[in-house]
Amino acid sequence: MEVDQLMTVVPDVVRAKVAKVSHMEKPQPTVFDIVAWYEPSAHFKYTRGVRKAFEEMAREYTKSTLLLGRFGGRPVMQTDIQGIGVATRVEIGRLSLFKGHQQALIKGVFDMFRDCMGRELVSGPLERMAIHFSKADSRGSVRDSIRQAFSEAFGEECSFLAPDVDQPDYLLVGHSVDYQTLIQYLSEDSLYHSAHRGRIEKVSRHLNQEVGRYEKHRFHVVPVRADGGIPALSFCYTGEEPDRRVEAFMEGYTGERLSFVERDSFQAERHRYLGLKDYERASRRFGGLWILQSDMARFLSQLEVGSLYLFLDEDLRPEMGRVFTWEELFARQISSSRIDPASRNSQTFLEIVLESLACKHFISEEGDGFRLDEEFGRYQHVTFYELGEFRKK
Amino acid sequence: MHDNWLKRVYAIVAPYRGRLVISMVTLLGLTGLGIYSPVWASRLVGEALPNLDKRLFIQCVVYLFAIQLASSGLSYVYSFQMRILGGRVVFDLRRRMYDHLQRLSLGFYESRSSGEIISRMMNDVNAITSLVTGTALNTLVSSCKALVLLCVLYHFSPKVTWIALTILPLHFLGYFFFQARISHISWKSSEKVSQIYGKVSEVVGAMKMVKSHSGEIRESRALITQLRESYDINLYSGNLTNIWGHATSNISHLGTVVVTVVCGYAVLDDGMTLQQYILLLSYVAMLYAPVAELIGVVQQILPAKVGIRRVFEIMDLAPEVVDPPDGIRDTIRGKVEFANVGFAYSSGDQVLEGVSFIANPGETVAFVGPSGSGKTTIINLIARFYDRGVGQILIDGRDIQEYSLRALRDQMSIVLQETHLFRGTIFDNIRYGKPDAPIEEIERAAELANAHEFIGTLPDTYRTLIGANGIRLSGGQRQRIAIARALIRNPRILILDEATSALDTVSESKVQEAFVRLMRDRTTFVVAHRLSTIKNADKIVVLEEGQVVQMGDHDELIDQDGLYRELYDPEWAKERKRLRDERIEQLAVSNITAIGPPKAARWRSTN
Repeated sequence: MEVDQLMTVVPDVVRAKVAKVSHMEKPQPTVFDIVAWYEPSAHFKYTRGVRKAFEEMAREYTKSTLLLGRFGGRPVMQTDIQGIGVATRVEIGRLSLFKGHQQALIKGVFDMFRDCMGRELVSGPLERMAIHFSKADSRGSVRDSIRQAFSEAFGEECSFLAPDVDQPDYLLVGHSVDYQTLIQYLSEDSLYHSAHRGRIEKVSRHLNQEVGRYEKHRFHVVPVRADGGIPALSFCYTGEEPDRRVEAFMEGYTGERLSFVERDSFQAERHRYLGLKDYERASRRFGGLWILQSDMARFLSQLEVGSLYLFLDEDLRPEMGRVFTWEELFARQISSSRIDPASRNSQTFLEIVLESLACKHFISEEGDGFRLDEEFGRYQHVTFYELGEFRKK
Repeated sequence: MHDNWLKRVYAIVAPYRGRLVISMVTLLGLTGLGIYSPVWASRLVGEALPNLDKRLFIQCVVYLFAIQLASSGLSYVYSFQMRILGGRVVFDLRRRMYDHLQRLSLGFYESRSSGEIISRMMNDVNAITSLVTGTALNTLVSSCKALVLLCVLYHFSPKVTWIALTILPLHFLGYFFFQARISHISWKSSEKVSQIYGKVSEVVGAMKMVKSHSGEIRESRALITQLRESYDINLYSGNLTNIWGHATSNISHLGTVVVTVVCGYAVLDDGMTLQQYILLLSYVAMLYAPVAELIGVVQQILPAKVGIRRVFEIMDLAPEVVDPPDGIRDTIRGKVEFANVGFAYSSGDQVLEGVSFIANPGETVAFVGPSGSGKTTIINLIARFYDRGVGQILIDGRDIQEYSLRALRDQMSIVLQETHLFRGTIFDNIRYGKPDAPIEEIERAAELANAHEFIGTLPDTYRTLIGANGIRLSGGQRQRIAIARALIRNPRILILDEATSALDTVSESKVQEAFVRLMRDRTTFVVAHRLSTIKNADKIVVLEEGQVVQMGDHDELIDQDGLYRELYDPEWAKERKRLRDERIEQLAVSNITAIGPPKAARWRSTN
């Protein structure tokens, strides 16, 4: 008897159940190994008392240890010597068989990391966090669960960093500060422009030199887009009340006129005001870049950034959809001013960079050629901060 | 690490493949003898004794003794070859790693503790050796042994073979349960040992500081904590390995029990002979032995893999500064040109931006500026400890990166603030700059460095030992030996990085005299905080936040209202700042009084 014939004689309820079972995916076990590092302290002592208290706390968070990866289901605390400081590290592994359970499972771990700080069992505030599970850099839905768990546990959004293309199972958890799209960066066509770097650096330097004078206020910039040209930039400050001396000293030493912004209006239009450090970082035209691809940050070295220009036209617009042959790219590389003179004539250099860009999903291979990734237009230029760095920012 | 780690390990062993083959043949011989032995044992018990066959009995005993003798001989040959192979692999690996470490750039050493590097070079290399000498061959031999035994057993009884094989999946379960945990714990163990090495080397190096701050007890406690953690990790690791070992053994015993029962019933009910019974049981026990050995091999491979990863992690690091294979080796005249040079360390912040200057042959160029202005970075770029990010650095009109690194550094000498003298004689320390220098040249260099006089007063003059167990020298004396060491190289480019800042006035004057002689006819770069020492420089480059803000000689710069004068004459700078602040304050106040009391709205942004 054919299946269809069989289905005609079974009641609807049974049929529905059969259909559900036949479409149900086999649950794949995912082993999450999670590690948290805490800030080092020269005064932290890993005493018997701390060990005991941690053991007690660990019992609350322990789950069955069967097949739970490298760290087992039981939390373990260890220390790392960092110069004269001692940093604590808490490790735990959890197994998830069902997709719906992952979020709660991971949240439990995040809660424990927070609890360690609350009970003062660790050397300092949470500094870094890493998470390891199979094919982490390509499993967006699992990462979503982790992000939601992080958001519930810490009350803030997080993003991930894949520190090494050779380790697709390993992610760092942190925060990304968004500046502009990658395309805007490449064509220097946004609010961030390197022409203002000198002014920013001058003001920052002066603020660092005269900390006491400016400590009651916070300083920001307001970039305003100009048609087809360099954006205009003005400096402002905010605080309890305006201070004429602050303005006069800043103008006297840096030549920059400050305008005062009241706290309320500053908060109301927070997005308009940019920190000096952020502007400085976003307008850099040297060194590598952090690029956010959805929720995953990847680092592009200076050499890789230079090679991305091979896929842009003369007006610095990305040639989306165009498939470049290796020969075309090499011809462009030879004449490119964005690539280091020592590497321009190197075929090996081009091969290495193309392989790396493809691994990081900036370009994709199509037949014998290469093209920009379909999502390239959505990639964001960001700075990725690990948890501790972000807190100190 | 590259995935093909086995290939890489083989590449290390490849030069000794002859010995490897001998070892393999010996081991196979040993295995063969081991398999052959039960045949005679079973004949002895099952055939000679029941049939009262004396001839066969003697023959069995002689054969068993001969097998034992042959095994012992082969075993000696095997151990001897392994010892040689292991020793050579350790030697080669450590030599390669040390050579590689010498080629790595300064950035590498700035980011790792010496203890960690030593730990990788000594401990982790040993792990590879144990893999090569013990594990790899055992894997092959155990696999072969298991295969042969399986065939032999199948030949005698296919049914017993299948029964014996049914318990093998349990071994796989054990593997999946333990392997990730043991790998990870091995990594932690290696890391912990590195940290302990690092801690000890740091504390021993800073013992004066530790004692002066009464930090002995604190440091002891810190190390005890680390040792205790290391103990815990090793205990846990040992426990895991132990449990796995016992689990393996019990699984094998389970198999043997099942086979014993099945064969026992066969003897009782189906007329199996006692000889067959003993033979089958022996082979089943022997079949499980290589399986257990293979599990043991895996237990050894897991920590060894960690060692391999840690060693190759260093070996795979490419030096940031690359020496061109066909680099220029010409003698240089000493013209150095920076053209719009920019540089950023890997941390991201730009240290130099648009730095340009020219130093002609024989000129003295001084770099001054506040801390963090980029002076030492420029020196590091001239010595090619790092490569520039953007712009060009030219030496005699050719890019610095076109020169052979060694040829370039052979024509440079550097005197740093902290003088490092090696443990040895003064003679050897000065000759470090030029190993083939005759004694006359060494004495001449010492004379020019104002060191000859004080060396003559030492008990063994130039052969006096310095450093540990040797004589103690003052800062000035050490610095003058360092100058002699620099001088003996007769460099075309001389770099003095804060070379006198740690000296008292009397020592400094003697060192300065030596410098005057040292700098003659050489392109000299000087970094100094005491500006009195660079007054005579042909060119002074004033740096601020990585940029050149002033350039000229002392007379030109001192007349300008700029950073150089601020640094040279702090009193003037303080007074100028005071006046400027007053003026700004007056302007601010007058503005306020002119427009009335401050109103927030007046300064509010219109944005």
